[in-house]
Amino acid sequence: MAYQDAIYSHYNWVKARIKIKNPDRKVAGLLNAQDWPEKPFKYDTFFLLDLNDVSVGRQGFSPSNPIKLRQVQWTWINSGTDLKQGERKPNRGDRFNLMLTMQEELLYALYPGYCEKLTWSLNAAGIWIGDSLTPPEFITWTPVEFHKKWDKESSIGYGAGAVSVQDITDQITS
Amino acid sequence: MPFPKSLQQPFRRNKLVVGSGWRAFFAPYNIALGSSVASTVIGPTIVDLTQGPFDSYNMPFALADLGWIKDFKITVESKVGQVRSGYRGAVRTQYRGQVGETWECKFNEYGRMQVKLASGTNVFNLLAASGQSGGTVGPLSASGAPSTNVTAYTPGTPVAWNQTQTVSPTLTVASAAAAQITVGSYIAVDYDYVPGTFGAALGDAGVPIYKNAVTDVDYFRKTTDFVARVTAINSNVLTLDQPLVGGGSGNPTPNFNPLTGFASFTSPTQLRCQTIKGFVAREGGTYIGEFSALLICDTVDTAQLVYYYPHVSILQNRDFAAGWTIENAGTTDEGGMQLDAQFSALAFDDPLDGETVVCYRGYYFKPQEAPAI
Repeated sequence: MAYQDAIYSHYNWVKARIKIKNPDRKVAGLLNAQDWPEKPFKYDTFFLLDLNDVSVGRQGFSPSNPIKLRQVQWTWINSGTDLKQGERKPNRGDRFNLMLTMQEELLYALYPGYCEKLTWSLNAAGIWIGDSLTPPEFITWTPVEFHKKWDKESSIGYGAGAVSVQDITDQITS
Repeated sequence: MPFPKSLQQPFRRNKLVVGSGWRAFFAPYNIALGSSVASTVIGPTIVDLTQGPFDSYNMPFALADLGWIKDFKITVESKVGQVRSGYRGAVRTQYRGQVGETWECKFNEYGRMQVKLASGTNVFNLLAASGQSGGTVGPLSASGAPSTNVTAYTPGTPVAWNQTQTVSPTLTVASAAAAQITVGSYIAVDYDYVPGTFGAALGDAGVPIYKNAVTDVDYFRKTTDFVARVTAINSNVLTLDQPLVGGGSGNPTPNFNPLTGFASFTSPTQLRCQTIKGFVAREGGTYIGEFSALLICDTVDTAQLVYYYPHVSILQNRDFAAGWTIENAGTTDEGGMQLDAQFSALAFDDPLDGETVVCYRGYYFKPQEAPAI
């Protein structure tokens, strides 16, 4: 693959670091923003949404090697923990703390803001394999911007961390 | 035929250099050595550039990490002269005139050594022991006694500044209590000054002392770079927060090696330890700070850019507490403080070919790079 490589590399890098920070955290996949949320929905789980691409302007644009800013968004939904029978405390009262916890995990996982760009393929066992390019290439991404929304009726919290991944695409030949 | 290159501007992606700014490392310049001879080869801490690219977590050659620097900018002052001749006055040849360079930066991390570099002065430690008489003679004249003898020092491992060590440095003293040293104390360590001695660069910090001008036995400890924080005390063995930094600038044979420690604890005079509470940089005096400096910019694809200044000195202390705005800090005039410094690159006669230069600019390849073009 080629055009997909930057997004896949970013996703796998961040996913691996999320697992370092919290091995129990689920990272469910990469999908187009308009396909989200999937059903049945998974709470407290990271998704990477692909939003759109923006070309770098005059300062770096090359028709042969377009530099793309791939705008992606790490997204999750928290509902909080429902009380069990016999418990006395605010129902789903941990949702605010859970939201901040996932923000912290994502902040950790997006470090250091760059990673090697690998080219991805499925092997015979159906496992994604990332191979280094020759010569090696790297992608970088911007500092994350968090956005949060709360639905008061349902107590559902929606969290998003937006970053822009800079990708120098493969050379387009004549 | 392919589309013209100048219309499409294809480029090799691994030829782009993407980094995140500069980091400064310094080492002492031996002022006594450098000022006593005509050759500028004598004095700098020589950084073997063939040992690069450099590991910023484990710098060789006793280079100490001064942290992130912002707005690093060089101003080349070397001149290229032209020889014109003929009816039209065309340039027939060129020659190199003066050689020089200045550079400036802002130290985002604020510490004693950064202040010493930025101010170019011999920074004075403010001695802290309680119960001492105040100074009515001068702002820095008060005695800092009591002190305690130092009998051993280990720099720990690895010998690295501003990072975690697996084995912490230790300083063994005769009596921590006698010098009012407790856990959390800041200390200064150096030899006694012998009143009556004088010279251009005395002590390991290389401070100038005029004849009969100083009578304070603590003068070296007031000006020493060897300061640290005590993190633990066990039977008069002080555990320090990081190895002692600096030294090597004084007498032709420095008493202190940052990597191994003091050559002797009783020579030239007794090595002692005192508590301190801060430091002062004066504007004025005769001391001019001199260092060797290595500036590093790593790229995301593991190439490395370096600037090596064998001999660098202060050009101008631009601001002791230059403000940088903190966004959304409220309605007060709240801001951060950084050191705004400007340096002059001094001459170095490269022993390789005898050329006089002031700076080395290096680039270390990344893997599988096309090295030529």
